[in-house]
Amino acid sequence: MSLNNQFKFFPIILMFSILFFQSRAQENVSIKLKSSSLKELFTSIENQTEYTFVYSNDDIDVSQRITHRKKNIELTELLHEIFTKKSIDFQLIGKQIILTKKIPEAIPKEPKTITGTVRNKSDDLPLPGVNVIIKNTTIGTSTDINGYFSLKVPGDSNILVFSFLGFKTFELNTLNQNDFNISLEEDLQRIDEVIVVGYGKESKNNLSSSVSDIRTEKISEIFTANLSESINGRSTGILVNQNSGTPGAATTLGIRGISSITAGADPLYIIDGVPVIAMDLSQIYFNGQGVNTISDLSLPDIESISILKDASATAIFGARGSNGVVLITTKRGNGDDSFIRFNVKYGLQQVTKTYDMLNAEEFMRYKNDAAVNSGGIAVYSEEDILNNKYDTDWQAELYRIAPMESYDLAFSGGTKTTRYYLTGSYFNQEGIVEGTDYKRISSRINLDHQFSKRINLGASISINRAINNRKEGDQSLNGPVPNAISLPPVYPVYNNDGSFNEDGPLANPISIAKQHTNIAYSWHTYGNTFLNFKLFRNLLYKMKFGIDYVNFREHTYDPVTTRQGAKYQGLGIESTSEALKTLFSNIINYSTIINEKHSIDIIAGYETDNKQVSSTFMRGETFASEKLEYLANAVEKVSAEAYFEESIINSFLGRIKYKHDNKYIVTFNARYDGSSRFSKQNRYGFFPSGDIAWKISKENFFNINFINHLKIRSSYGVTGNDKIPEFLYISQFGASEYAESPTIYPVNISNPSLKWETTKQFNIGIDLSILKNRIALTADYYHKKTEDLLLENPIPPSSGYEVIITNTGKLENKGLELSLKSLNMDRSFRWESELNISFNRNKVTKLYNNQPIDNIGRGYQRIEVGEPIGIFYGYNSLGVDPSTGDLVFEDVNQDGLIDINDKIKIGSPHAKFLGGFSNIWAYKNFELNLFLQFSYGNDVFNGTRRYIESMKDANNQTSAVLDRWQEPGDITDIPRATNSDPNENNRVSSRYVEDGSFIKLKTLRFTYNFDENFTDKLNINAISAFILAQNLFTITNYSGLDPEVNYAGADVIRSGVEFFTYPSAKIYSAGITIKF
Amino acid sequence: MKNKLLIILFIIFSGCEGILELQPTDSISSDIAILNESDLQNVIRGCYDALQFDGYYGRLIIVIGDIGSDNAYNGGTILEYDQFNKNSVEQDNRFLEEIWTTPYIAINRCNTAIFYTNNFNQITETKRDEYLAELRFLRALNYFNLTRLFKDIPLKLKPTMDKEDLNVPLSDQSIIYEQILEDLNFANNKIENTDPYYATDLAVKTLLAKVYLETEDYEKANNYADLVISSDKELLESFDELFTIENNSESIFELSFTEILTDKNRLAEYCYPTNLGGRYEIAPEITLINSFEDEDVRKGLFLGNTPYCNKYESLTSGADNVYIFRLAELYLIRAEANARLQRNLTEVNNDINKIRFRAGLNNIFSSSYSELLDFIESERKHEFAFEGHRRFDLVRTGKASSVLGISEEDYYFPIPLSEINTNNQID
Repeated sequence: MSLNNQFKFFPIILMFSILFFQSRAQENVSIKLKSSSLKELFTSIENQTEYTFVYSNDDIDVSQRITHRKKNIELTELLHEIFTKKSIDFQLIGKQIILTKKIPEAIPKEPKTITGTVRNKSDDLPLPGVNVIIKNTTIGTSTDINGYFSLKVPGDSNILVFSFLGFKTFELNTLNQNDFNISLEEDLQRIDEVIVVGYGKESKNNLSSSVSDIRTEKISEIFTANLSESINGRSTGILVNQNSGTPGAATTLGIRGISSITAGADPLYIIDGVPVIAMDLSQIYFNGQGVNTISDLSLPDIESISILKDASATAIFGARGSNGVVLITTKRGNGDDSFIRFNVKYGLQQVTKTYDMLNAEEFMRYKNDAAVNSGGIAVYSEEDILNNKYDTDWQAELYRIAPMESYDLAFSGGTKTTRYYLTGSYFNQEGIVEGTDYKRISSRINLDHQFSKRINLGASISINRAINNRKEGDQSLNGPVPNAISLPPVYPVYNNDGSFNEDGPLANPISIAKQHTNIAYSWHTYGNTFLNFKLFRNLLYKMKFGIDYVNFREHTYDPVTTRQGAKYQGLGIESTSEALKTLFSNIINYSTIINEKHSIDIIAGYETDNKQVSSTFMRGETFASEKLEYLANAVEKVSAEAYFEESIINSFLGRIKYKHDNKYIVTFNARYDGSSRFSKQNRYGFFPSGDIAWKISKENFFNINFINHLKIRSSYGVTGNDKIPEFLYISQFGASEYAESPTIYPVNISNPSLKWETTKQFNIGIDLSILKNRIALTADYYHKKTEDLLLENPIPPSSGYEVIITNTGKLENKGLELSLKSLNMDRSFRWESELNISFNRNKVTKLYNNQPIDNIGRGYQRIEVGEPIGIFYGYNSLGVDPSTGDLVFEDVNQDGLIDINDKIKIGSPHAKFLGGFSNIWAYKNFELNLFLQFSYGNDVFNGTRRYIESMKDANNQTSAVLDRWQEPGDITDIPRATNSDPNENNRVSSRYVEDGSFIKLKTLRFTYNFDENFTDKLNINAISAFILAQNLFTITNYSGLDPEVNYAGADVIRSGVEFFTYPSAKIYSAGITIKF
Repeated sequence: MKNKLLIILFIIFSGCEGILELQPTDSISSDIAILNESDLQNVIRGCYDALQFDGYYGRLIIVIGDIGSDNAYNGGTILEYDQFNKNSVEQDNRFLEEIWTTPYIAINRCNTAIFYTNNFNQITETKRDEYLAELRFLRALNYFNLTRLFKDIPLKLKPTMDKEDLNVPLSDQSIIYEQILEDLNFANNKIENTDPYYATDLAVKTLLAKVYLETEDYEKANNYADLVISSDKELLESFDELFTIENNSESIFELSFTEILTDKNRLAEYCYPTNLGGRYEIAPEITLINSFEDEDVRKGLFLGNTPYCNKYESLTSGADNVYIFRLAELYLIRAEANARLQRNLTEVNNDINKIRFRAGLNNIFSSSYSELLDFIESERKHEFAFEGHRRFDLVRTGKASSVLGISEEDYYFPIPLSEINTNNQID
């Protein structure tokens, strides 16, 4: 009889019974047990007496074996004999024998020495290096080469903890015994993590393709709202193109280099099996500060992220797999383990770096210099200079210490048949630029239900509301950041009457920051329901219906009191976008094992994926008052537009995976996709791939002891990319207006032969674990060739068109990825390290007529055959001529002229290698994490300097120009100041290309896990607290704000350019997690 | 059980072929775009829409015409205009590419509309000729602008419909002028419309006068100018009203702009100084301001301590119309044609004084033709400042060398790299 529930009241009953009802049992019993279970003993005693046993299964293991033989012995004596050895206390109360786990008594502790040998349970060989620690102390030792240990322990009863990487931790009570033989059992779970792959899961040991896996602990180590940011540097083969520090702004993730020029380089994002809308729906042009709907995802909900890299992993996603696939799996409830977890974080952000600009006096002298050098007269008199009235540090006025906070609450639980995971979270980040912030509220429920033996079903639903307050930024005369950098210090922020001063050549940045409104409201709901139906023993039918809905509204207003607003007497924009994506997926899965050696796993399925995007845009001008900010009050409505667009992909997919004896693995994948973007004859594409893997360490002949796991794998396959505008295969007329009447006009040259971009990728890799799995290495080499690039071919503009999209280009990416994990120390002090390095070489091998594509963006980048995408291209600056103060440019063709024929490659934004290095040091309850991120060999084009070191116009200049050339004979690398700039010192040249290599201390985190004693007292499961510093320092030669910069944000073609970009922030934060 | 499942799967799979067939929603497939006469009129109006581009009459041709002369300099932040100010333009200058590309977009629209007009069978031949006259006039205008900027250029008379039509070699300027005249002679006397927002017969005649002046056929230039002057068009009494009253009696061809976002220009924004919310990209040279005679009312449109042009004043909405031709020019064309032919001395003086009188200036009289030509040049400079004429005038008269200090090589801009790199018929 077991009485789990009543057991809680037991201590009280016990007290009374001891005082009043304790009676000695006078009954005698006989037993004869040989290797019987305790349960059998109980039955025997219960049969012979009127007593019954009462106990909790948690405390008493009734299956433990005993051998005991006694005739006619008094019951209590017998119980004493048996239970003392078993560490069980017993009490006789009424007719019940109540059993409890023996509580170690505080008897005087006499030290004793414990010895023993630890062996591997599976092969009985001794295990050296096993940690032996007295529980809850730091006293411990480790086993020697023969698995032997000897440890002095205080007192008789101690719990020893045996731990060893790759084995299950074992606990032992030293009571009454001094010498032990211990067998440790291998922990398959720990070495063999399960990884989510396309349409299934696979154990890491049996993985035959190239997949990186990032777990929730790593994702939550950093404090950010942004998914890409949270995995930046955490995996090989990925490059996070972060743009600006704008809160909530989008970042792109590049997987294994850039595989496309025009058709987009974003990977396919899949959340819980459903492709999600990952696009910038913003209609207000904010270059580099786009809002990607993927950034609405609440990070604490994520269980794991799998990054599918090689063709074997991605080809199952066919036409959309070329850029790699990011599979995001959210947390689900576990029926047995109910908990509530609450997590709060709070941080402060500070701008990492600002430009050191000239002060008022320096600025005036520079302006005079520039005027005089171009034949003019000084602008400021010496008196003006010495009595300057204002000396405004605009950047200091604009940047602020900004708080950020997040609160997450999760409930997990359920029964054996129904499980739930319910979360709610709130994230709020104010920007370091006055007037910017990002707020998000999200909620999720993941539900699983076992309906019957054959059917289980469930749902994952998430609702997210985000409010993003942005300010115009890059490339704008109305951006607070560019203006705060460029506006000369000689103007005040405010006039005497308290209004904003607008005398400067650029709009007052503080006025914009405080008065300009641009708010994006987004509702993002995604969910799926699924039903798994077991048709036969090995045959499973899975149906999934997914929906992803985004509503994105923007409200913009520039009151007449801003310079931009004054121009239009108030300017307002209202826009909405709505995107709806639906997925209907039907998969049949057959898996079987024949003769224990042949494992076969087959899936086949059909999916249809429909995307609809609609939008409206309205713009109004001339507002009656600066207090009225909605378009109803605009006198002139200058624009009202609406659009609708739809695209559909239909797919058939299949996979066969065969494993022989867990040694040899062969997979074949295929997908057949049809896309509405192509004409009938090119509508369908076939994407096959395959892989093969050999686990050498499983072979009988393999006898290298220190190697625990060795696998070689290779794959090859084809994937596609269809991200081009709709309907390019037909010739179309667009519509506009002239003199208030409608017009139509031809917009394109049709290209009915358009088809998919295809990427063929070869991969070879090894997985190796050595020294009892203490060190694990994964290495991959890949070679990706993309053909039929959907390329905007430049065509003669005299044709009336500038481009035609055709499948012409080719490019390739090849690279090497190394990831090394090691457990450096595993005693009471634990030290784990993880290093990943990726080398990627990108090369364009064919373009339309092999014509280069030039002058791309603010970095004046170029795409050219034989070079990587987006190289910097311009004049090579050789330095300043000491006699004239002008720059000398290299006459490359030596024709005596400096003209466009002298332009050469002056840099490349692509890193030679990049990666991350993380360390965890843990001691007792303390844990310290340090994460470094690095990049080597990438150049940055500092387009900001082209304005703030131009020394020719109204902008303020950096303090670097104090070293400018001033008179003949000056040796310097900064040319003279001149408004007319006859030599064009300011042209696009190597002067603005800088080495962007860096090492960043991305995170430094200190965590304290509260003691169980403490948490037990509070009746709490666990508490941990942390303090964290992000972006603490960056080691770099780059003179700009942050070498990890991309003014164009998501556009990878224009990467590696700084252009008045919203700076990044240092973040200091602290937080606490409580689990009930 | 198994059968039921197969039926379900069959239903799911069978619906999937047709759904990939979608039609565009914000554009029209070309095979159904032009079905009736109003569609045809829409295509024709599309040619005017192309003239409105920022890279054309919406901004750039005026920027170049004045920044590229002694009238103005680049006073704003856009670095590439500096090369125009110095008249030393690199082939990869993005505005050079724009001023090349936009007239060709307009030409392709004209060619497309001509193609559809020729193949449209729901109209009378007279109507067809009138449409064709309008389109060929517009095509001639675009070629006239292009050849004055670039000299020898590709001549395209058919719409670009597929990849085979892309590469066209350069034609001599003389061939271009032949084609321009052929188009204009076809168009002459065919257009009944008198609304100056669209092509009119007077606009055709004005362009003929301009082309003949350019090609030094002064007799014909005089004749066509005469025809326009003797029409019912007349000069406005007040110069200021030219830039406040749209569609006025002086207007011969005027590009309509409205405050609608896709139908506005950015001229006022470019002219206004930054403290008034503009960009001041086209800033008047102090020499221009000083060269106005004191009582010249036209000087009144260059205001302020930081002088700026106020001919375009709708900073808020960008709705200022832009003159392509106005009557004042015809007087100066006639005067110049006669002066170059060294005849009609009184008429020349009268024509000049007609313009001067309206500007509030004293009459002049000169019996020296070369002095009169200087007066004409000066009147053109002051009358059409910031209307994009000045650089064309200096190049036409050969004065660019002396006034701008540039060599004859720089009279015409280089053909942009985007054309050279892509057109396999051009080296």
